[in-house]
Amino acid sequence: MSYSQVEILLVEDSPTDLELTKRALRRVNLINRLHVVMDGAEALDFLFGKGMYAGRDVSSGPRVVFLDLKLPKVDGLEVLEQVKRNPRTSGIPVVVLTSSAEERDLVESYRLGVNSYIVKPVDFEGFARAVADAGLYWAVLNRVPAAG
Amino acid sequence: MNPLSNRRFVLGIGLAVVLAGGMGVLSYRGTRRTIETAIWVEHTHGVIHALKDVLVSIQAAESASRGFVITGNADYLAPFDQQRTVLVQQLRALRRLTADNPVQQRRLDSLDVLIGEKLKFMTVWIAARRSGNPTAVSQRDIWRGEEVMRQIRSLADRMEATEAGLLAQRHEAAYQSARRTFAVIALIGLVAVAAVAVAFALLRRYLLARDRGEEVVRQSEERLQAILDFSPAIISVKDLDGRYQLVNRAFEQLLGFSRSEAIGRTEAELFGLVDAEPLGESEREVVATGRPQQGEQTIGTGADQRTFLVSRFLLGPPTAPQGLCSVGTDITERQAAERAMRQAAAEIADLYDNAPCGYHSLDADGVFVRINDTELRWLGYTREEVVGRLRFTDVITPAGRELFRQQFPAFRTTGVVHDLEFDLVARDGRIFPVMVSGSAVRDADGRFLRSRSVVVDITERKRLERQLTERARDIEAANAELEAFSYSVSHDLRAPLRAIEGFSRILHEDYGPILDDEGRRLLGIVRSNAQRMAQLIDDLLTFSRIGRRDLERATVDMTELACSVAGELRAAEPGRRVSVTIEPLPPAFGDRSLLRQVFVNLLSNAFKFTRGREIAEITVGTRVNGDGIAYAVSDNGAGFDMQYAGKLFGVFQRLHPADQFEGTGVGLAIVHRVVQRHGGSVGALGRPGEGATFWFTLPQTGAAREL
Repeated sequence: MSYSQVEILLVEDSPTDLELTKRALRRVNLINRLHVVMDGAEALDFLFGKGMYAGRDVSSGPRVVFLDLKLPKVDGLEVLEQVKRNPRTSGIPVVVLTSSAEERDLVESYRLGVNSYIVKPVDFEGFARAVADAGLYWAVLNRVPAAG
Repeated sequence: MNPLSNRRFVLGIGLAVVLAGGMGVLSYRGTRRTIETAIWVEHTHGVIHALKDVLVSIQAAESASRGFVITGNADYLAPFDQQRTVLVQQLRALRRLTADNPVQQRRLDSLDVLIGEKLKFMTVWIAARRSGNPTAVSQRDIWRGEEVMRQIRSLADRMEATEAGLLAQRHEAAYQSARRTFAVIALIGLVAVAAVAVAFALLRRYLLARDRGEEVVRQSEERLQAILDFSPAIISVKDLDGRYQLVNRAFEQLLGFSRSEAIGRTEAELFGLVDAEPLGESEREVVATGRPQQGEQTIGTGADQRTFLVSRFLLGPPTAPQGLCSVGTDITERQAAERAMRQAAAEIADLYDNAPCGYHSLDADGVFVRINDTELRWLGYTREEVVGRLRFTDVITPAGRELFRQQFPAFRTTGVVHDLEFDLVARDGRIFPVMVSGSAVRDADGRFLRSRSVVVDITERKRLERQLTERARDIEAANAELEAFSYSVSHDLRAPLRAIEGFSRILHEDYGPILDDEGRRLLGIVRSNAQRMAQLIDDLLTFSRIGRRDLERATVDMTELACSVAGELRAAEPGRRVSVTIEPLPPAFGDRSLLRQVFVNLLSNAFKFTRGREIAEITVGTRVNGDGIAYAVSDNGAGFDMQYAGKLFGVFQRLHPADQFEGTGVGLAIVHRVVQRHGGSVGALGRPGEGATFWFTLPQTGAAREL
């Protein structure tokens, strides 16, 4: 799978949440176009074609970013801010997937231009449904203006 | 004014008297002259008569002589002799009458000669006749006789003419004199009338003035009496024997003796003092020395005792004093006021010096002019070392001096300064913080005289402030910690729970078929406990958030809020038969979303605990209790034992086993917290099996204090 085929960028540092998320996406056949990074710095490298992702055609996607907020190195809000501030990436929908039900995170995310904010339910069925719905909506149904 | 003391009046009257005298003299002289003139006229007439008599006699003698001569009848001789004798007498009388006039005397001499000659001729002729020789008388002699007769007549005529001329002269002189006298008398009369008129005018003026003067004196006396009587001072006049001559009304009123009782008696008699001198000691001294004196005198005893300030002085000329006047002012109140003022001043001084704060006054240059004991004790100086010697800037730190230099000029202008903080430096070097407030004392022209400053030692306050700041910092840190804690609870505790739940689900999905029933049941227990724990965490976070977030207060329609919440809950359990009655509720002033949470928790409890009832009956209404109007939610559910009512609103406190009624035990704690933060109170009533009522009060307006 080349990076240009990536439809979903999943930024998640928790292996268990990663596995649960993957399982939820697998249920709706969105697992094949998924790329996973484990921290915020790598996420930014991927999105802006830097570091180990130098040369990646940044205009090719992804169609949606699933972003955890508590991340090593660069945290989720910082990633969100940079993505939304840069005109090249500001069109990419960002869905925050987080355990935090904290009001201030919610408020800050929307201030920075998040497209959707999902508190991961403890109950797996609820969690799987939320991830699947978001994946289906943003990666499949949502239309974005053609790049360039 | 005595008219005799007026010179013009005296002169006028004097002049009038002198003129009247003059007039008398002049009249007398005029009259005498007139009488003299009359005498002279009489005299002249006498002379003329005498002359005529002489002529008549001589003619009669001539006639007689002729008769004899012619007839020779001797009868004619007797008249002749008689006329001759008469003539002698007549001439003698004439000489006497003209004795004052030499001219007439000389003429009289001539007349004597002529008459002698004539008589001689006649005698000759008679003799001739007797002798019978009438021719002895010559013709020449006859002619001579006639000539002498002519001369006699002529001389008599001249003498008469002279007398007549004299008479005319005297008449003229008398007339002129009378005219002059009359003119002078008339003039003098006019002047005298004028002088009398002037004197009369003066007298009239004097009399008018005297009338006016009497009026003035009367008014003046009335005024004096009024002044005496309305004077608050006791005024009396005694004669030198000490007997009252005059007392005023204040004397009567204050001493209790009427005027009639006092006049003529001495003080000793009035007050019934035996063995007392008629005059007091100081009075005797005034009489002896003639110098006025002033002194205090106390009259009466106890509460009626009054003190007078008495001035005594002599009346009348110093050499012959006529009376002793005393003027006494009642100074009892003044003395009492002075005493009270002294006491007040002492009290103020005591308060000033022993106040728990420092007091001082600075002059326009910032030099101490006054300072109280407290501040001196703080500073460790004596008053002598500070007042007039030290400036305020001498007892503060350099930073304070800068502040003082900035603020003092403005203070002198505005007159007030509040809560300036300085660090005072005591003599022993101890530095302590104070707060200074002051106001300016100004003179009548508004010039700054001195400050009146209050100095408060704020060492303890500063310490408390520091403590408070530290405490606040601690609280802030604790809050931050709590927030970080709840954030990580929210985030980090949920992630493993999700893993437990998710993976046990996955385990069930992927390996369910190879587990037996017991294995699947146990997996179920794992999953439900993970979910329960997640619920506990969520409720706890909600509870903690309610404690921290700011209230957004507004007027809230509680009826509408209760209806909306009840509607949602009813919709969540459509299969149940629940009768919800919502009575009109008064509006509240509070945070709408938190109050909504209160209704959610109370109504969901009501829904939950009526689950066993065929028809759940839930009522939202009001009840009156001690705090005013309370909102109440009642149900006909499981109820509770009032014994445990106190535990109802605690966190995690539950009165029912979890397998009967699920729940975390946080709902009522949240209700309690919200109501408490609004300044209200909560309570509950219930009996096991007979339902429960939960009530809460809220302030109705914005006046409530936020807790």
